[in-house]
Amino acid sequence: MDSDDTPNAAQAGESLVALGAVGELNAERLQCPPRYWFLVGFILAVLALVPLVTDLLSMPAALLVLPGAILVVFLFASWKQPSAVRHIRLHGSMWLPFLGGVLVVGFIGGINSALYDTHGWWWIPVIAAVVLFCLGTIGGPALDRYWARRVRNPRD
Amino acid sequence: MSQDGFDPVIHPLPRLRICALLEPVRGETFGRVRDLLGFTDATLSKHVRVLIDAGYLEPTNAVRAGRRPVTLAMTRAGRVSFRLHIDALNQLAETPKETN
Repeated sequence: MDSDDTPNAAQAGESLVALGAVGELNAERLQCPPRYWFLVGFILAVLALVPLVTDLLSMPAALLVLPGAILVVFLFASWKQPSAVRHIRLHGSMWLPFLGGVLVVGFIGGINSALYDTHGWWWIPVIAAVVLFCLGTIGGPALDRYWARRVRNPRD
Repeated sequence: MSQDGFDPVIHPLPRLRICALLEPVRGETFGRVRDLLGFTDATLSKHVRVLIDAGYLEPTNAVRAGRRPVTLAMTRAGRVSFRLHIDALNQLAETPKETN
C-alpha cells in the first residue's frame, strides 16, 4: 500500500474481486425458498375467490373459510422461517418491480370484483384466481432474481 | 475518510467483506456473519469493534427463540461510506497503469 494508505489499481481490483464473491454469497443466501412464492400465489388466489365464496356460502361460513384458509397459509409460511433480520433492504429502483406487481394485482382484483358484481359470471373469480396464482409463483421468483442481481453487484 | 471516498477503516479485506455482507440486509447475527465469511470469533470481534468504533456498525441484542444473539446492522453513515469507498475502488481499478 502507498504511504498515504490509498491502494493502487491492483489492490483495488483485488478488493473488487472480494466484493464480487460476497455479492454472490448474498445473492444465494437472500433468495426466498420457492415455497414462499407458492404461498403468495395461493393467498392471492384465495383473495380473488372472495366474491364467489361469499355468494356460494352463507356469511358466517364465508367468514370462517376465508380467514381460515389465509391463516393456514400464514402458519405454513412461518414454519421454519429464516432469521427475520436477514430480509433484503430494498432501496432506490429495487422498489419499482414490487410496486408494479402490487398495481397489477390491485388492477386484476378490481376488475374481478367489478365484473363479478355486474354480470355474476362465476368463472371470472376462478380465472382471476388462476392468473394471480401464476403471477405469485412465476412473478415472485422473477422479482427475487432481480433483487438477487442487485445484491450480487454491490459496486454497481 | 479521504476526500476521494476511499475509507481506510473499510478498506482491509475482512472489513470490506463484513460491510459487503451486511450492506443489503437489515441486520445479521454475529454467528451467521462468522460462519458465512469463515472467520473465527476473535477475528470477527476485532474487525467488528473497529467498525463499531467508527460508527459504521451497530450491535443489538434482540431476543430470538429465547436467546439474545448479537445482531449486527450497518448504520446510515456506514452505508454511505461503503458506497463511496466502492466508487473510489472502481475509479482506482479503472485508472490506467502507469508506465515507467
